[in-house]
Amino acid sequence: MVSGQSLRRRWLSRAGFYGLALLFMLPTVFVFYWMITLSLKPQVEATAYPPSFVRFSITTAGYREVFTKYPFFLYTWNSLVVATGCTLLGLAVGLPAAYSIAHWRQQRLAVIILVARIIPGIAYLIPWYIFFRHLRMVDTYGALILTHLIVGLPIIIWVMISFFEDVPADLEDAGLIDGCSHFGVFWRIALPLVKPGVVATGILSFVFSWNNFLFSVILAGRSTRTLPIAVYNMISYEEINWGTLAAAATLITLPVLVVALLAQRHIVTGLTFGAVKQ
Amino acid sequence: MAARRLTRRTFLQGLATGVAAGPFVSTPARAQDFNWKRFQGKELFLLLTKHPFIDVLEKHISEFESLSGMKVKWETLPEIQARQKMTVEMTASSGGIDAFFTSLHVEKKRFWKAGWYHPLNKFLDDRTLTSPDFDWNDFTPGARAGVTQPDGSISALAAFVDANVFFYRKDLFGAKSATPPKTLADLEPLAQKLHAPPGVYGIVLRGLKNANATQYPSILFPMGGTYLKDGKGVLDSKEQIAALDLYAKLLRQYAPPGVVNFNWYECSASFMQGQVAIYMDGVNFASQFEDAAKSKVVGKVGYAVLPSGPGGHFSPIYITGMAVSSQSRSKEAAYLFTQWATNKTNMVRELMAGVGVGRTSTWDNPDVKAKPKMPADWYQAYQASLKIGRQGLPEIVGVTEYRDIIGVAIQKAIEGAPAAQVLAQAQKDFQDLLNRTES
Repeated sequence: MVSGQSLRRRWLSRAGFYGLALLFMLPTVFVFYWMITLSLKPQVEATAYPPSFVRFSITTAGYREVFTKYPFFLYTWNSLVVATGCTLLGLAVGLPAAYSIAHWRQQRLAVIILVARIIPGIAYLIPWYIFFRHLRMVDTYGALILTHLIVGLPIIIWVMISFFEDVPADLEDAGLIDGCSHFGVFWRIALPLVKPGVVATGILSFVFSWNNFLFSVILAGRSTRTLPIAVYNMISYEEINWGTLAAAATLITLPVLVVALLAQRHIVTGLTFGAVKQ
Repeated sequence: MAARRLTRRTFLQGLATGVAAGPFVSTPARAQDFNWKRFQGKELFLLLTKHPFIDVLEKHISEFESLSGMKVKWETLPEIQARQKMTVEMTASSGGIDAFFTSLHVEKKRFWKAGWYHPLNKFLDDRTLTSPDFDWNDFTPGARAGVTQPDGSISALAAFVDANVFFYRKDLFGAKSATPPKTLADLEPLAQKLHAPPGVYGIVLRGLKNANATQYPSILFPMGGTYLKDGKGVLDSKEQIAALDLYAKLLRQYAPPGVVNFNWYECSASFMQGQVAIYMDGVNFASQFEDAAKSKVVGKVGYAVLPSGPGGHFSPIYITGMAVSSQSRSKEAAYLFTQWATNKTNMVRELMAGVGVGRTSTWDNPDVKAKPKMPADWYQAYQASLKIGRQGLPEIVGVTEYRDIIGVAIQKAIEGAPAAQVLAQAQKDFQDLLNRTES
């Protein structure tokens, strides 16, 4: 009898937990649900009022149009190259920088880097354009990767500073005493300890670059155009092609979603690691 | 006849009248004739905008390449992004753009003051550069005025000309034995007669600020209202007050709920969903109305010219054009492209695809008559509207700011504020804007 009651209580509390979780997730999940259903609806039903949430006729016209009318694979490839390039380069430069700032307490340097992030990106746009034009780099991956770094790099550095600060100084000293160089300590001791942080910041920087719109509009040309611009292609003068727009949006969200789910474990440790000091 | 170099603030009145008459005045005949292949081997770069006109044009650019022997590269961006790109390119003096598609109703004065349009007057006069069958005077007077600046310089060649027309549901009108209104006085009783909520609402017009500024002149112009008088703003005239009263009343009483936040998108969607009997907006929406994949009212829509009023009979028009960049390194070659893009052959193609153009000769083209994409009354309504076309927005630098100012006033009036009061405030803001930007 007693055990039955406690069983019921446990069941109730579990139901309550999932119920609440569902409630909180609803707004987020609904957006995805709406985007995906919209991508499958014909235009007449997409604009119907009252909106049809569950019952609607399904068409793949939106997806077909995305692939036939627009060079979608080229855009995807461009986005991949730029986001990957930006992330790898950002990590290559950002990790040693963050380590150096954390280890030698170079606060002023850290603030300067942050300022670069605080200034709105649009302020750089014209100088950059002139600059890249003279270097004949407009419409190249190089220009996009370099400009996306201004968004990615400060994030990598700032998040990683706190990770490196949590690496016990004793460990590093031990390495130095045993004859390791400073770079050796960074490479062999500090870096392996902050691996979760590296994954988390890598994903953050990848997503920032993936979603960046403004720089790609101005600095990319027809051959290097990235995905976010593809979505805007569905908006014309006095006409919005909802089905195709939603189909493109779904396809663009997908890779990021997959990467985030795969690396989820790292992100969670990454975000909580360093929160508590011993 | 054109000014050699534009000194922007000199107002050459004589020139302005001269241009309206047409630039084909006495040019000494030259030995050399017009030749499409004159700039063979050159490469052009175009900045185009996502637009039905461009959708049609893009398919035929290769034809221009073989005609001229030039290589054409181009980029098509949504309007707002294209404008950003344009601003960056021109500010950086890159010289990378040779020709561009321009929304004159927004950019005309601003780009002109910035010196981004290369004046086309001399090119149009030059028989070695302008094909004999181009025929500038074939464009409607409204379209020619739309591309001509106060000093007489021609900034672009008119491409797409959007006119506001009267859309109505033939089936609903038939059931009540109603006909499209001849005058503004008939409009309100008509909306009332057809108003049967929640199934059908009488009328829909844009309510959202800024967006509503392009539909408001459909009522304002026939009421006799204007934006400027002797260079001063007149948003508080009695014609303005009467126009806003009517506009706000129609929307408050006979429009779907929430109309105060309707942009063109909500308006056209509610009309295509069959919820509205009357809609007045750009003629171009019609191609969506007649597309079964997008609309529930295919075949049920009638097209008519807007009603007239005590101030006359007008249709607000909005013009886009093809322009040559003042920073281009091959302006003459770029001019060949703009000329080709707006020639008779291409304009017929546009009209057959249901895109409105301002060339008179296209209306009687046998191909258009034989294979019309749109219903006959669409062509009639459009043609009649172009004849009474007047630039829908004030031709000033701060067009966007003006749209916000009047837009807020319209929204407030729909919500019930007295028209005289909101317009007094709007006039004050508008005059401030003019003082700041037009001097």
